[in-house]
Amino acid sequence: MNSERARRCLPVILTAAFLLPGCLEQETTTTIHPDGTCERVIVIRDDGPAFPQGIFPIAVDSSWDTTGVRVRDSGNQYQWTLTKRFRSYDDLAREYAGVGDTGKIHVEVRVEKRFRWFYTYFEYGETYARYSRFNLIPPSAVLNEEEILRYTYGDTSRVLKEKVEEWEARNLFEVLYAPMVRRAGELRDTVLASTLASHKEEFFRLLETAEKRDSFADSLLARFVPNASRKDLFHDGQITEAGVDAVTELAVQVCGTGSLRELKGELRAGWKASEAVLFDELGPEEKGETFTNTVVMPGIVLETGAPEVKGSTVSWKFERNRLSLHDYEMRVESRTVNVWAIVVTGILVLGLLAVVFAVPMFSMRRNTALTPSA
Amino acid sequence: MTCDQAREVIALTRPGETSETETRALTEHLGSCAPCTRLYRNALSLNEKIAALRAVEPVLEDPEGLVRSVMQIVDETHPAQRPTSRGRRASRLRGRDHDAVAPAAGFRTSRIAFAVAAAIIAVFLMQTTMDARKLAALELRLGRITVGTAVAGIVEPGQVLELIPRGEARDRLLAMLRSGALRTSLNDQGVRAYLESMSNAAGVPPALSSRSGLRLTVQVQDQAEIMKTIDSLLTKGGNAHEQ
Repeated sequence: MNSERARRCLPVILTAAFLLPGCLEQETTTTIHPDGTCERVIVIRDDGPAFPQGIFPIAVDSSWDTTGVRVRDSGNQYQWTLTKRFRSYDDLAREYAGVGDTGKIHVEVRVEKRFRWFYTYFEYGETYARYSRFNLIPPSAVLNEEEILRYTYGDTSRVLKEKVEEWEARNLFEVLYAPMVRRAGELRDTVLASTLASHKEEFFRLLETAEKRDSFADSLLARFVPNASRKDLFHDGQITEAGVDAVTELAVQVCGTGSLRELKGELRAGWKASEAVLFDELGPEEKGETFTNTVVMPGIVLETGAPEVKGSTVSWKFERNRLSLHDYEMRVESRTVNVWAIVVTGILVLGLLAVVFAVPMFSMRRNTALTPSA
Repeated sequence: MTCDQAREVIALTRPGETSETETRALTEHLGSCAPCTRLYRNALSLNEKIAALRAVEPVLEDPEGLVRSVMQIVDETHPAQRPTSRGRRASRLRGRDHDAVAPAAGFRTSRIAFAVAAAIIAVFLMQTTMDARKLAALELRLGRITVGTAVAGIVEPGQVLELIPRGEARDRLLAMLRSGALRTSLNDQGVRAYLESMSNAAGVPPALSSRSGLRLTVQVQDQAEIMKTIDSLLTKGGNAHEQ
């Protein structure tokens, strides 16, 4: 899951840590009651007994009923269940509005009830704000608006996936390359700065097209340090000093100028920084996160963008990386029938229809009765 | 001018209604005829009074009093046929006969009641229709799966079949399209697997679609690819969505 994502993020920066298996699964079920109250149940499955630290903001306080149990027959997997009943829809909205900048995703919940005599309409909206550490290159630099939305809402086409991979890779590369460009500016070396600018794309392509880090390491070994081994270049998931030397030589070869060796320190710093950004992007536990948001609405569902609708229950399921480009918006509208209003209206209409027919008849009869005496 | 002719001209003596010749002849005649002169003076006096009356605007000082007095006379004349207050108002405004007012008021009440009832029913129908539309759109969307980067447009089942070589799979697909059973033969898993295999094929359009609201937009590479995926598709079963 996330290891797959890590693999495609500029492969040469991939570290062994990303290959850890496991996935944080979070299921949120919100039940909207027609009386204005609602209930939210959050179920989280994770490996290990420690309370999971995903990016979804969860306020573990006394107002939430929290239980954590080990899942049978699933190794070391634990399931945490958090339940809270809200006295009003606004209380649910306030639960997340109050969460500050805690490094979690910003969640906005809106629930509205509209009484329209015959029917009562319920509208539920929840938005998970865009969450990504890749912020140097905006998604719009690589993808158009339609592609961004399609990817966000679950498009799995290969062409689109490749574009997103390119955007991620470009962001990582930007982190890696920026210290060198900055240093060249500080040195007031215009030739070096322009060399870096003109060979930037070439260098990026070289790193991006490396299928695996091992093969990249082999190619470096073969070209620059024939007497060393892979471990000498990348050790414990980190680039070594020899690895930095080899990549610097690669940069020198690409750019065609030996003055790049002066920027070896910046290359090292950039490489480390890009590793850190990738760690952050993949999450604190370097695992994937899957969100399932289920909403149980009162009445029948009229409108929703959810891919799955079963009766009055709508569900969205997506992985964390779907939040990297755009806000993820979930919306559903449902309707309940006000039977009492229909009965009252029926009686009223029948009364009016009685008036429609009875009054003229009565008037005409009275008029007919009066005419002879007149 | 004789006296008879003079009286005719005197009768027409208003500004602009007699010619200069007639006026001159009349003046000559009046100089020698005392009765015609008196008649002429009376005519002039009458014209002046009529002109004064024209300048006066009629003012009704006590309209309610007038109505009361009229109604009193009516009550005294036909006590049993006194109309309702609304009828009286109508009679005052329209000057209609009281006998016609009572049924008119009844019809008006009836019309108002009918309008209110119709408005209530219209609101109900409007709300229900709008909701039904939303529901239909949702059903359509849930039945339509659009995946892939190429949205090349919708083609008819016949065009789809042209992409598929003749054989058992094509016959089965044709039968399903004709019977409208294709929609219910797809389940989530089947569609996903189908589309996944389609989107894995690097290639160009076209789109593949069916009628009855189901739309499959996929990328296809060649006929063999279509055959393979159609074949796997036909082996799937179940409902796409429940609503």
